Amino acid sequence: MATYEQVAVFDTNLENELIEGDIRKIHDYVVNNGGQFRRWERWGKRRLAYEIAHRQYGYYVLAIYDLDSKATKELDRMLRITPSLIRFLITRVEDSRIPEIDAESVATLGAIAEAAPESLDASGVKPGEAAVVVEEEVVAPLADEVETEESA
Amino acid sequence: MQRGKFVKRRPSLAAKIRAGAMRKPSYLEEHGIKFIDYKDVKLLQRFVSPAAKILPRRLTRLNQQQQRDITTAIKRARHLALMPFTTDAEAY
Repeated sequence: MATYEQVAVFDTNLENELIEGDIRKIHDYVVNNGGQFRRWERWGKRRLAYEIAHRQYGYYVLAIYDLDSKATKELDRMLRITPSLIRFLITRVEDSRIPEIDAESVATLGAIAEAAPESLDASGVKPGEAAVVVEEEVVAPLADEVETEESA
Repeated sequence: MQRGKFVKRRPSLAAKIRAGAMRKPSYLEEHGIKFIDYKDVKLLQRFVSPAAKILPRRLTRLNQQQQRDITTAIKRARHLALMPFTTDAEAY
């Protein structure tokens, strides 16, 4: 079991639900393979430093998790054939720099509430509360930003 | 200069600077930065030229290990499109 840091860049031209679905897939894969999330960060929609396949923007999501190296290799293979991803990077986190488990971000940002009842129970956050936060913090900014892209 | 005879030369000014006596500390030394994170684009930008090319060690004044860490971090940031490969001949 080692700690990995993963940054994924999703195609913002796609439906939000599709992106959320793939984020949930990553979440479920790690949980189902005995992994443990330490932190999730959503950087949101950012301009790419250079154009990739005529895309100017990407939706950035960072996740840090403990996972078996074999399962991580398989996840890497899985991500490579995920069409909604523009880019991704999985790196090993040095032992001295492994972050504490940030239960709040794991519960609210990892996946939409019903998708991950186990992780919510584990962190002691009520599914109802988490679901509200997800709507405000995650779904809303995505919707807003998609509009700005069209005007740009 | 006689052939075969060892002549000790005085170090040049450039050699003195390289050796450290007159060397300005690198940015990492100055700020006591130990870990280089590929997500810290602001830091990495100090080690690239205006065209976004990675600067040589001669200019960054980093030691070999630090230069390698910076290089790896910049390459990772480029892969994720957090940093450009180049800003030369930008199309727009």
